[in-house]
Amino acid sequence: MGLDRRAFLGLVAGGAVGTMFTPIPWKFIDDASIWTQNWSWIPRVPKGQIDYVGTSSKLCPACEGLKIMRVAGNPVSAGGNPDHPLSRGGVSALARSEVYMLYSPARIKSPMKRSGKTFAPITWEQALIEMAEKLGAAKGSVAAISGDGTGTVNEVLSALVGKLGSAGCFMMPTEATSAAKGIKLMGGQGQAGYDFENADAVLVLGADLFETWGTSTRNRKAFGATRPAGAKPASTYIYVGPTRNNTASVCDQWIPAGAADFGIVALGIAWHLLKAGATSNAPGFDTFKAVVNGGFGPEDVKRATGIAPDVLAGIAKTLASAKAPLVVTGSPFGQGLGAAPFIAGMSLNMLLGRINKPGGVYMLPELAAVVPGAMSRAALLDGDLPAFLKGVEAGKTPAPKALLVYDANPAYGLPESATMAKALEKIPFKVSFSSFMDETAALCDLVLPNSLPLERYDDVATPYGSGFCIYSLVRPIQKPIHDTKTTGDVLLALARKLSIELKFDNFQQVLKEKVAGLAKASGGFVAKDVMPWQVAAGKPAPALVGGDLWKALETGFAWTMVGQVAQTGMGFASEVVAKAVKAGKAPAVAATLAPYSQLRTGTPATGIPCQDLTTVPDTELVGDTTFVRLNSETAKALGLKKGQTVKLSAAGVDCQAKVHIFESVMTGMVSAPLGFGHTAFDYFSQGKGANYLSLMTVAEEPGSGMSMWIASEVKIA
Amino acid sequence: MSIIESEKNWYPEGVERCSLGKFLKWLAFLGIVAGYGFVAMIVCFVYGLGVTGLDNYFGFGLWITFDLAVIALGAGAFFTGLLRYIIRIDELKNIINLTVIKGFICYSGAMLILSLDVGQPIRSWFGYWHPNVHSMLTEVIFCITCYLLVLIIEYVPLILEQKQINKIPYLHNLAHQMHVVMPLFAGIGAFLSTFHQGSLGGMYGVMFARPYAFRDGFFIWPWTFFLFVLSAIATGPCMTVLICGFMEKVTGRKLTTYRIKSLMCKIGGTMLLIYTVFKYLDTWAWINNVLPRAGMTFDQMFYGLVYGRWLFVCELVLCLLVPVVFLLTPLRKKPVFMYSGAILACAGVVINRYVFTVQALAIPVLPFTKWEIYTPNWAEWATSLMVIAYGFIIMSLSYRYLPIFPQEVGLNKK
Amino acid sequence: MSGQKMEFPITWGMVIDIDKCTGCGACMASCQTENNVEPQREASNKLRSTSWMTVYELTNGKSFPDHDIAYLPRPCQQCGNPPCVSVCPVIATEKNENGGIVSQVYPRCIGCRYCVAACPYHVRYFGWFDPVWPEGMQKTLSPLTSVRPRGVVEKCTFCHHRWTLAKDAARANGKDPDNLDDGAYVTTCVQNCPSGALAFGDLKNPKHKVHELIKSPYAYRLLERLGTDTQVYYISRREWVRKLGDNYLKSE
Repeated sequence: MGLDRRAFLGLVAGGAVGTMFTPIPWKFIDDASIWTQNWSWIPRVPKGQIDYVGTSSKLCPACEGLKIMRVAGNPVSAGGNPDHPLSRGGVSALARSEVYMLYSPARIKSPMKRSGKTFAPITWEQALIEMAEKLGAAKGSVAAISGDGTGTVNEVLSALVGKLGSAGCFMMPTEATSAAKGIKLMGGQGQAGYDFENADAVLVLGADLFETWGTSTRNRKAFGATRPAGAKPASTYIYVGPTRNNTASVCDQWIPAGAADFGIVALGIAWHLLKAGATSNAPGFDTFKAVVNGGFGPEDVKRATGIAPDVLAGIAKTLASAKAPLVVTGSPFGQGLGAAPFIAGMSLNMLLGRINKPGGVYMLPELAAVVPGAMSRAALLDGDLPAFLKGVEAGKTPAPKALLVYDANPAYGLPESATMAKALEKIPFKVSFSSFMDETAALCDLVLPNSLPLERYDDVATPYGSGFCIYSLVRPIQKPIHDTKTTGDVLLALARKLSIELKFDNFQQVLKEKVAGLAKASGGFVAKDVMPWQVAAGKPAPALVGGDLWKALETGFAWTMVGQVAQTGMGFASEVVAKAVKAGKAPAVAATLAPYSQLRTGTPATGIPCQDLTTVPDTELVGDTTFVRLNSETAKALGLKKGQTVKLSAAGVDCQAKVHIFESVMTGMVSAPLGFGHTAFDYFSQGKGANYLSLMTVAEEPGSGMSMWIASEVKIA
Repeated sequence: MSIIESEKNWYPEGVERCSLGKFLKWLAFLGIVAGYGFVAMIVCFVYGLGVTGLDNYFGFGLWITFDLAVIALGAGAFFTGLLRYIIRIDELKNIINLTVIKGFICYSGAMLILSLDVGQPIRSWFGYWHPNVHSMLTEVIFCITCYLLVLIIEYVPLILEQKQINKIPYLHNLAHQMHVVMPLFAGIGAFLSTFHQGSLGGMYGVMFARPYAFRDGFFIWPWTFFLFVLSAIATGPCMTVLICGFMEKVTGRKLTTYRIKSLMCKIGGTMLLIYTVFKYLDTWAWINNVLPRAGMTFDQMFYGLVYGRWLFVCELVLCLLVPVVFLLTPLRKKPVFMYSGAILACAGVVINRYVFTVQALAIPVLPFTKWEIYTPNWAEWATSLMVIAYGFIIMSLSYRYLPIFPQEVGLNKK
Repeated sequence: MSGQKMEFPITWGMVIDIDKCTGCGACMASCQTENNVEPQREASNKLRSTSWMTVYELTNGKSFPDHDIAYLPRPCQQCGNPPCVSVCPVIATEKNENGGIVSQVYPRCIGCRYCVAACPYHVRYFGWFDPVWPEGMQKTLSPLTSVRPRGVVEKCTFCHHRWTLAKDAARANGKDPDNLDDGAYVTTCVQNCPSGALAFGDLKNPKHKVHELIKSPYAYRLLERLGTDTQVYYISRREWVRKLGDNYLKSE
């Protein structure tokens, strides 16, 4: 049968035309629009009943209360809890990450043991046996580092280490470290708490109040509440620091001053207050007065800091004329301040009569410990980790035989990182309880992953900065996704294996006992309709209504108490101030490094939360290079140009950076972002930028003997 | 009979063509260029437009510039058709075929690039199914697709007139009948073309939040609507002449008389003069009215080298005034002036389409944003080159086998 | 020519107090996850990364020590006269619903990006690649916002899904869904902002805080003179900040 060309063409043409009269092409087109909505590789959103459950953020140092949105019982996002005094509905970029970080590629999926340069998964039972054996052998020389500033797990850790024979139990250095040391030197008792809600004039010496300092979400809510949109502000905020950082950007005034000069500024203001007749009957007042009058007059301060006398007088006037002035001293990057600037700042509060007053500084009592043999928070904060590790590195301090690292990343998050990492290498047996594969975990012999906060029971007890005692619970909302365990439980199990009596079988029992203790404390209440700052301002505290406090806490409410420790001997510690507060020398060719830290790049323990990378501006990170900021005058003096790639050198370390000309940096300062330059974690953190904290050199503060690294010289080329 | 010999039977009557080997080498070269672009196209389809240099600042880039430029330069087809069939300038029959093929190439190429440029090519037909009648782009989609059909209808009889195909009586008759109704299609084509050339300009003119592009106008049409029409019909004929001249250079054969080319250039030049007058008026109104209303100044419209003032001067002086002089004065009699006039005019319209597409988006309208720079990457260049290579292939095949140039035999008699 | 100005009985609007914004990025982080934007590994290319809410850094352009900075969070401005809507060839973006939120219909969008070109606020983002989540993380996707394939344009919707939830809740409580209480419907950025810099409500409802706020002498909108008539207001007591909201000639 022949089909000639013409017939074939006719058939094709006829067929094509004919098809148009069938539904086929039209159905095909219609389906095409459906396909383009349903590609199999595009994830579907989960379906199911939506509900909200309460907990607290543990990843974020601001410790916000959270409302977790769940779909069919699975957590999908974290929002602020409007009923929680530390959140009031607000949440940081870091706390927002609590849910999705469950699935972070950096998570450690099971216990692991080092074999050569890599890790091999082991079972929890093997891990416990191994650890019991090694720690048993290391008895008398076990050290611990905790990065958890608020958890009761520190009691378990310190009690265990104590009973094993402690070589030192340390906290990662934070603002709380300097404050605790300062209070101790002043002869005070309790934890400094700042009542921003009731303050109407706040002088901020360095502290990045609205980003990394203390309860930063609560701080901002308190700030915002006194600043109705479009109306006259009901508060005055003055920021003193090397850069107009996130905090300074919303303050009424920014006074440029080097981070090493906060003490001088404080004493310079004290000079004006004293001149105006301020007095105090606290111990050491006369010496203090002599010190201030002896070297901190307006001209002295101008010479040392460049701050004009009238500016200083203006600040003093603002504070003196305010109803509720408050002075907060801190480090612009959350660590390394030293004790003296804190004492100098606190002296202003004392001169202004602001101790244990509404809108002032409350000396908050520590919540009672429940684990026998546990160290108090004050005792833990007294340890000097950088000094200890430097001693180990230099061979001056014997290296402990074993080290337990909890919720901390000392190999990354300490100054002189290179020195610290060397010290860690000298410790023969190291265990990390990190949830993520961080720089420290990567150095350890055993990695026993902690469940994330949404997978475990934990707690938050009065974070540093809070103006009131507060306690909230962290509770499991999701079964552990990987083979992880709550470290509190692991430590208690380990104690049993080592036949160490810690009174509790599991961590939840510890927390229940803690809560039971709170229920008995007088003055405590559950913050719902009445907030603690209202009580501080005079509103009667509601009674802790009978019923189950545990249950209230589990639903996301916070127990709170406006407490204060009556001060018997708190003085000016003038001898420390006299020794430590001195004008520094201006660097000649080098510049002073002024780091800053932001919650959106996470903490050393979390790495950069993947969704927060988008929030990092391109003036901070482009590709794999981070930017350092200097003003045009500094750039000119150093011969640097916008966008130029430079090398920063100090402490035997080089860091790369690009130059960003930013005029809100003091002349002579180089401002550098922290939180970058990870060598561990996942592809969202690793290799992005440089870790400028490694450039900071640790010095011993005269007078207090404390390690400080508030300002370091760097060479830029 | 060998293939080489039989292939010669397919040439138009009485002409000479280069050897088949040479021709195949030429096609192979074009094929490689097109093939490279085809790979780029597949990469775009498979991985998404992230492989291009486009971004959220420059949603439009090289592709849209390319589309607008070829569509403007392809406008010779409708305008020459209009003059030939409706206004009946009979002489133009000697070049009308070339303009039709050029138009077909430009429009089909533009369609190809457009299908690449949209993020969801499978949904391209939504323009018909869910049209937004207020959008200039809807009008563009309508007119371009319809006009492409018209161009196909105009191109088909040319193919049917091929010596061997024309031997088939049915096709012979079909070609004849199509020629008879050609004025109708020329009319439809002119209508459609005018509208989408205008709408392409309108697309920019209506962007009232983009001060660089925004224009007031007449009724629903911003001035750019009319300016784009004028600039297209001015440069379209010039482009036809350039193609014709280029083909003569390459083939070494005379294809039309200088007189015809000169006539086309005169037509183009006249239109260019009209365009120049209106463009100058428009620019004046833009500087003194549109920009100040937006709180912006003329100086703010330029930045650095890539978006520098030189583009403005090039477009409005070098590529408007100069070609007007070259094309409308006796200078036109000299080929060097005629061709350079045509080249400048075409370059001017390309610059115009580029600045409206890219510079308009590069300008920081929000005062706290900054100028951004757009650089097309390999994927965009390769696909654009593919379309150019495709055009060369179509033109080469058409020239070799179709009787495009009625004067060719006569002009090349030995 | 330009589209027509739209009026609705309910006009959802945002008021952003720039003097309170510390630029921390919590609004951006909230938005990313609320609206199922993928985590972006190379987010430093700001011309390519997607963030419906973006915080801009504003400076007064002076040198140290007179330099000043401010942060400006920028959601979709939900223009009353949107430059993007009239240009869309396929009606994939519309402003036709009470509330005045400019919609974006992902299954309708063909990805021509004409709207991207037309919007001077850069609020529109194109899907350059298909979105990818780290393994398992798709379990934390929000059930309320669909995941977009590549090739379509997306933008801030004022968390429109939250309005739907708020109306449902009002109906369930026997309240009028068209007269919601102040705060019953707020976007995720507004809800989570730690500084309380963002406020949200019905601009036309006298019971809503924003109704008064926009009357402040310090309130302004971005690029007002272009006639976009936006539904997002900014407040700053600093004159230089307000001046950066629009373009001005030297004589003005």
